[in-house]
Amino acid sequence: MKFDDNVQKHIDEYFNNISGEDFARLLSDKYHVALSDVVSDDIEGEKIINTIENFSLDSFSVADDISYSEVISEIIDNCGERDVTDKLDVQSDMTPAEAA
Amino acid sequence: MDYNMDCYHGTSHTNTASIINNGFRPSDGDNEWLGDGIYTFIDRGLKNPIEAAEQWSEYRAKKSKYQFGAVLQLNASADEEDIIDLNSEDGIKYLESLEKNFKDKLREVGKSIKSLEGVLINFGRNELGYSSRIVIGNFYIQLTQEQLNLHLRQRTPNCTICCINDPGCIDQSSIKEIKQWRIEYEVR
Repeated sequence: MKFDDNVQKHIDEYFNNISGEDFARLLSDKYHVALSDVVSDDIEGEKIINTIENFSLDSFSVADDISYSEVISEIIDNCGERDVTDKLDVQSDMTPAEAA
Repeated sequence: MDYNMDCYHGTSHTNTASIINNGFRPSDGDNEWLGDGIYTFIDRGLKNPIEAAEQWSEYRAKKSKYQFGAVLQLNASADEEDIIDLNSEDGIKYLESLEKNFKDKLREVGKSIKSLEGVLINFGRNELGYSSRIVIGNFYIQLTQEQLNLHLRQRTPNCTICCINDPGCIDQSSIKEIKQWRIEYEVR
């Protein structure tokens, strides 16, 4: 398919003409999507941030080789969270050693 | 038809006759990576699609406990306007536009959504009318026992998936079994 201005306009028009409530209901009823409550997601995000902040860097046996992004990826994998990185405004490119 | 491609599907040998005689039964469900359809591997310069289909069949055998694996070859074709190629700029823009609108709309009512791709593809097809008879995308899939044992997860894709939503894209007479083998189960 070609994605051009007409396709963009068509998509935007659809979403401009449906209410959030109707859209959420459609996803839930027809597409069986389990929608999350943003508030509870934020709470989960806070928990994960706290976990990282409280994480003892000494526990890394090869601290120089492990980056925050790897730690975050591991936590995301284990928690099943996919969009939690949005909430983690940490030094993702720093290694624990650098951070310490 | 603009596009014509050889596709490879890993399954059990038991299913072969039924597929050749009656056609495929599409997977459905919004958790599918590329939406509803018949999932196959194709050659786009990544993993050999025949090998990928064989490994997929082996992987499925561990769950479904069938005795003989099989790789089916089939020919699929469609016009360019009916194909969403997520490896192309147009395909990426389409998916991003849908995802942005999904998230913005849900944010209005304090909701969020996780697993998305299959829902986006199905939604675009059903609600917006974008035919997407065939959807193509690159993925990293754990196919070998070693990859599974080591829980290897890479962002770099290792194979190309072709999801055929419309069975009419398949030349039924082209379906043939090109490989059959006995599944080896580990004895404990």
